[in-house]
Amino acid sequence: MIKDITIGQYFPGNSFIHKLDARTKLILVFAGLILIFLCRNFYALALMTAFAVGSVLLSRIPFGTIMKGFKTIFIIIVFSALLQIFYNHNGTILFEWKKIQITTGGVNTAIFISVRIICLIFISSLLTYTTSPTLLTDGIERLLKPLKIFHIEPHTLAMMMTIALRFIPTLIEEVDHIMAAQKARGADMETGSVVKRAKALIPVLVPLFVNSFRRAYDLAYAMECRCYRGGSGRTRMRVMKFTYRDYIAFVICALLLAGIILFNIFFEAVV
Amino acid sequence: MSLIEVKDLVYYYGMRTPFQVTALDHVNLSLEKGGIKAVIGHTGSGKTTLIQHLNALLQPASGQVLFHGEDVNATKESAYRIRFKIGLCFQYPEYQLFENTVFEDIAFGPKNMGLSEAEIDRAVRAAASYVGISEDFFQKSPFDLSGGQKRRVAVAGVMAMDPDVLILDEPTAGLDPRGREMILSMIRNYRDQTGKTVILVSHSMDDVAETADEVIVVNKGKIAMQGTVDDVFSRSAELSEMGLTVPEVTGIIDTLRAQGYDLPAGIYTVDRAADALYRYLTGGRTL
Repeated sequence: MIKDITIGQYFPGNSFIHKLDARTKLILVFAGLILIFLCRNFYALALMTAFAVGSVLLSRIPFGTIMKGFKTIFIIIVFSALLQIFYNHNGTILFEWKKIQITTGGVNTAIFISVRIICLIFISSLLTYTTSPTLLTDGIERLLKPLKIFHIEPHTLAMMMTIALRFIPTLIEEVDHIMAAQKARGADMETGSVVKRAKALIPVLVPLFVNSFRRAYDLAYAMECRCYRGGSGRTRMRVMKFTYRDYIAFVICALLLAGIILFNIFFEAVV
Repeated sequence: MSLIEVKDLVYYYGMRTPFQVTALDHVNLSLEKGGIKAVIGHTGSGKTTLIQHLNALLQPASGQVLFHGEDVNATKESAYRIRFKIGLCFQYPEYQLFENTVFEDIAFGPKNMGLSEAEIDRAVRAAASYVGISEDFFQKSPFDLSGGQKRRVAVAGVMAMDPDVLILDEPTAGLDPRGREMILSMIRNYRDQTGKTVILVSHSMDDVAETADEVIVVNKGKIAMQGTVDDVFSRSAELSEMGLTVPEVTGIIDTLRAQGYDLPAGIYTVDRAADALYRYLTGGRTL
């Protein structure tokens, strides 16, 4: 159950996208998400979809793996599509029954929004699938450097993220372990009403919290013993460098932006 | 009919993924009633996986676990009920305490069994006395106790269900010598007072030599040996091939014997070693 969570999972590989600098990927994913919302008609969206699918193909991550992330999002897609179909009354009427009215405008928007969400997931999940957590936090730290003027320490933020990511598998393992132990004492977590099942989680959550605090203290002491004093004056083991690949990626995205703007100008807007 | 019968048990970790590992490879095992049975094996040998099958916490890929001749996985109900018959106490059980008081924590198992207040009270008191936790502790928070006390409370939580078989996974791990000795003597007392079957999972050969009546050696997901302490520890060459050793004191006595001292073979505990050395030095007198 818990092991099915795939968001934030890293899928090791050696593709063009894997080799891009983490900073490039962060910037381009952010730009990509904005581009998706810039699309005003199906032509622009088709271009965007082609880019998203192309990126997934290029990363050589199996579509099945990315689809796993859809399981939970699928409800959102269906829900927003239905909302559009039933409440958008633009265009010609396709179907009418009592108060329900389905129009071409509604269907078009429903498809448009569904494709848009799918593109969003493709692009955003590529970031974590192709970038190891350590590289990702390194990239974030570098990109947030300008925040120093506001007396926000990007290194501290990055370190907190690294630690959080590092402990996700540990905590999952721990939950499994505690659950097994409480089940051995007859705890029943699978049957009964919602309230009963929520109550059955107490024997799991209390030890989990207690152990997390213990771990936090241990980790803090261990860091102090190694003279950790935050980011100032630390050098890095991995120096980040832009390569020709990063410049290619930036150029492709600039062309994509130009394409979308052109399509928006020359074709009629849907939404 | 044996108390517990394991038939052709197979279990994989990460089944149907690229990372599939065979954890148990056609294990056959039969355990008779009574006594302390020690399950030993190298880290990753499959001993913890094996014991989690005995009380149906894990379901095998194929094969059966029979308790009194009945399949523990026959129905969902039987897989749940078996947990009260075969009590399993995991490694580092002190990290699973959660209630406000020691009493309530020990009472968690009996409560889940659906016992009455009076029966729960009796079960908790009996279990606490086996592990040497006095009534003064009952209203304390389990988080205020020392490491050794916490562990004894956690073991009592399993004993309180009054299981026919008590399984303890590495009960002495991470304890100082005094805590270790306390737990081991507690286990022996429990066996003597209740006459119940105890399964002790360990990788400390010294613990096993001191407490076990029967030894089961697990290696690479298979049962490698089963027999008395003498049977198993006399095969030291095979044990070391599996990454296991004989008890420390046996090594010392064997070295002395190799140097020509006339000491008896088959000494696995410190007490027996002390006795043999005294006899050797004094020319026949016992300690």
